[in-house]
Amino acid sequence: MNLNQLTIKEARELLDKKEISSVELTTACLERIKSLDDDIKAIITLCEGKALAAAKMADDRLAKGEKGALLGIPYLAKDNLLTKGIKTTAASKMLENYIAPYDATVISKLEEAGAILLGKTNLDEFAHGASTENSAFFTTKNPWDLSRVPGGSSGGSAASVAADFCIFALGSDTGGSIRQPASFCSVVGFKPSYGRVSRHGLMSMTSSTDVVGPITKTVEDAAIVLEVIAGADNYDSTVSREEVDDYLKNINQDIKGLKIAIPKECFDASLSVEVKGLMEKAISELKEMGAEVEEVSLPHTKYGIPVYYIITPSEISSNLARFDGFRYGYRSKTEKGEALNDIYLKNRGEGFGPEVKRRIMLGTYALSAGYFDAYYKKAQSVRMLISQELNSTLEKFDIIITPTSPHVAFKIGEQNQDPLQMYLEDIFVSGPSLAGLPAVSVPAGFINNLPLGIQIIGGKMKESLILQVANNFEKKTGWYQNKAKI
Amino acid sequence: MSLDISEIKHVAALSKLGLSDEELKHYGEQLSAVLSYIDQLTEVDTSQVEAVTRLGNNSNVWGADEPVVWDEDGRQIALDQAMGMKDGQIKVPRVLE
Repeated sequence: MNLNQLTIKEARELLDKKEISSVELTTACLERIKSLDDDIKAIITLCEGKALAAAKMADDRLAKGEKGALLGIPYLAKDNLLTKGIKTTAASKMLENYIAPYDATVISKLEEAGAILLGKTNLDEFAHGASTENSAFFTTKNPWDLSRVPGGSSGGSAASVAADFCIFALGSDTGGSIRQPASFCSVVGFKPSYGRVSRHGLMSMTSSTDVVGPITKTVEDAAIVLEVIAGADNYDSTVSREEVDDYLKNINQDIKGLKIAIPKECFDASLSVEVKGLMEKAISELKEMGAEVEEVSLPHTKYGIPVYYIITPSEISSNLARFDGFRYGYRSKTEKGEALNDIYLKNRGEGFGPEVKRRIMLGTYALSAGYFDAYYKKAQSVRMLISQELNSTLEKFDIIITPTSPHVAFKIGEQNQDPLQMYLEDIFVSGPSLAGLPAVSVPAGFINNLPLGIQIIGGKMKESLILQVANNFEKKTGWYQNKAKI
Repeated sequence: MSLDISEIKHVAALSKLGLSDEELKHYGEQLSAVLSYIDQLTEVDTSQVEAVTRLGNNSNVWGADEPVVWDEDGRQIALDQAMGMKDGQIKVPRVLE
């Protein structure tokens, strides 16, 4: 086995036994990236020199007998997480040359833990999208089929984990951006509860749903990373002060008697026979492990997307106002004496890509005088109903299960001309985001050799429980052992 | 809901986005389609719901209003992002004649 294929748990053992060094592990990842990223196109910035220097330091700490879950473990971070002294582009022409003066909290926590930052991964511009096709630089390819998208917006991170470019990666999830690409790439994507992980230094998109989370090869690895990055932060007042659980403590406990809700809306006519079949198989596996499964109705599920595409653009329209070419970002060539407003219009008109422009305009419209009540306030009210519906279901049941995405990875170029079609990708993943609930996508099989995940949703701050269920499912089914042949 | 050209121009102006006529037409059509889809929200009865804008339990998280001292390299990186420097000041293009 090549070292870059290791999980965190496996690499930890070998590092602690001194059978491998962090420099060897890091070198294996860098070599893999250099040999394959011309095909996959997952990486925007590679930090070879810095990574090797950090690995050397981690080896010194290990030699002194220091212990740490992530000490010496190489990872990649989505390029909307600020990294001091390293470019953070958000895959936008607007920030093509932007270098952050400080680290995001998650990045500094990982640095303190001794994890090695290998580089920054591709995404849809400012995380607006579900395929990475909205990146201003290039589209990432799905390692399972290079003619298909890896999903998005954390597509570069998911493809990197699937291609063994790294031992783990960080993504961000606003309405499915960790879970959907994890599903398309057959890796584990974990979206924590809103407020479980600091957003400080994550470029703001939808401040009421944005979260940072791990993309990993196994569920146990997701638990390990989450424990390091979660917790209070003085720089983000929306982070919960609640103590961070020991996520590995109960992860191997069985799930006998676990109550699972299956929303019947997830099985409606629009879902293909193959996806229904995969879901039914997953449900029967869970039953075999002793879980009690019951069908429920969540009639507001279908409003998740229309609500999401009002709330999100509204918050985007104000969060992206800072990119004016003065405080940050792309500057158009101005002519002497040009009026200030014209300079703004040119900077923003030329610096942003189509999807960003659409979302800014949609949000500006929804928040504008005369439309606020009809759109924003209405969406916020329906959001409450969606949230109440999920929360009351999770009072009667331990978890809810859905497919992560309504189908497997689609072809590059197949649906990027129709924004509405792309928005429908979020059908199962937008609800937990709007309600701030934790959810994980775990590999659940293949349809015509293309992977698909199931989504496990838990009650607020019930990260431990969904990790336990996902881990049981993963161990029983073993889908994660399948690797893309590239 | 459909946006006519004068409405989409107005939204683009409010958004501070300089768009070509072709872009205005293109985005106008796309946004009209999205808004028509979103209009299904009108069928939901929300008369009993209070729209609140936060879901968390946190309230009144207080912190001391103190300046944070930046390290020198962070400060330098931030200043390097400025469009121009002169005598330790950030230089911007003249916008008033």
